[in-house]
Amino acid sequence: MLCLGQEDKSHFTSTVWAYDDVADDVTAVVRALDKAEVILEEFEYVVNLIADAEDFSILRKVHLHPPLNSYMQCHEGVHTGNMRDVLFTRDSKGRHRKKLFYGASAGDDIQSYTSHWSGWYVNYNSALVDKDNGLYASLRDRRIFDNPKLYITRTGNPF
Amino acid sequence: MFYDESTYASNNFFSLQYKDYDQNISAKLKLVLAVIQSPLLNYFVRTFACPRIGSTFIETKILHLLKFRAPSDILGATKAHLEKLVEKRLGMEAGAKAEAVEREIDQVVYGLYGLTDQEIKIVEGSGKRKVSHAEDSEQN
Repeated sequence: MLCLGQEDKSHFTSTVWAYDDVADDVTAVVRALDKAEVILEEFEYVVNLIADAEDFSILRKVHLHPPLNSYMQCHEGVHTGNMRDVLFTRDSKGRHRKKLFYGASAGDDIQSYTSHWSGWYVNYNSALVDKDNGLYASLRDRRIFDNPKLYITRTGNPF
Repeated sequence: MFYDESTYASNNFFSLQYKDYDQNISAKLKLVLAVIQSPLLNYFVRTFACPRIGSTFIETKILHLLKFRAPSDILGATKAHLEKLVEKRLGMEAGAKAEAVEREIDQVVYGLYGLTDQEIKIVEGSGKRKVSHAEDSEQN
């Protein structure tokens, strides 16, 4: 991998170290491809020098479809700020309580396709976030949660 | 990655939904789930969006995910077949049988992209040997 951009020099250092002994071969492969197809703005001009013509053939097929960001949106879940013990609870009593996926480390059974709630609730009440007394949290737009959605774990996917 | 109706979530999770909230219906989201759950997304991120080799861990980032490209609408017999498979998978617990259904789903997804058998092998990591400096050092 060779970073041609200016913003990610850490990649540049590590990749030169990683591929020094194969650099001649892989750069020859990249030269054989159309630069405009290999060096792409959408990837911040980062080029994977191990990717070859077969990889770029697959990328061309992916490019036949619209990018997810043209019709989908992503949001983080509830950010508890300095109010975690107030907002996240196992107590179901109260009209603002909503079932919550807290995370696998908190007991939720997180799997591909479907997951199982372990009994946590969020006290979804913006009145609790008393900024005048130094409290902060971000409950997000409730439409994110009240509508069907896909959830993606931030640290559990094998990218 | 999993489908959910109305459970809230901590910031250990990202939600993925249609920008138009009216389109966030179960049937449509489940098809999106099938596509992004396939090895093709993993391959895309590791090969192009955030290049890494081997088992190097990459934290899921919204930026990487949203760069992936997927059909905005799946139609006809493919849609019906995929819906049936996803519903079947959603009704199963994790295990060998569920994995077999997931592999069936993956094959349908590859078809949406027109991948050849050789390209499928590459996406699934068995089509060619990716050079690893560490592996080379061990062999030399």
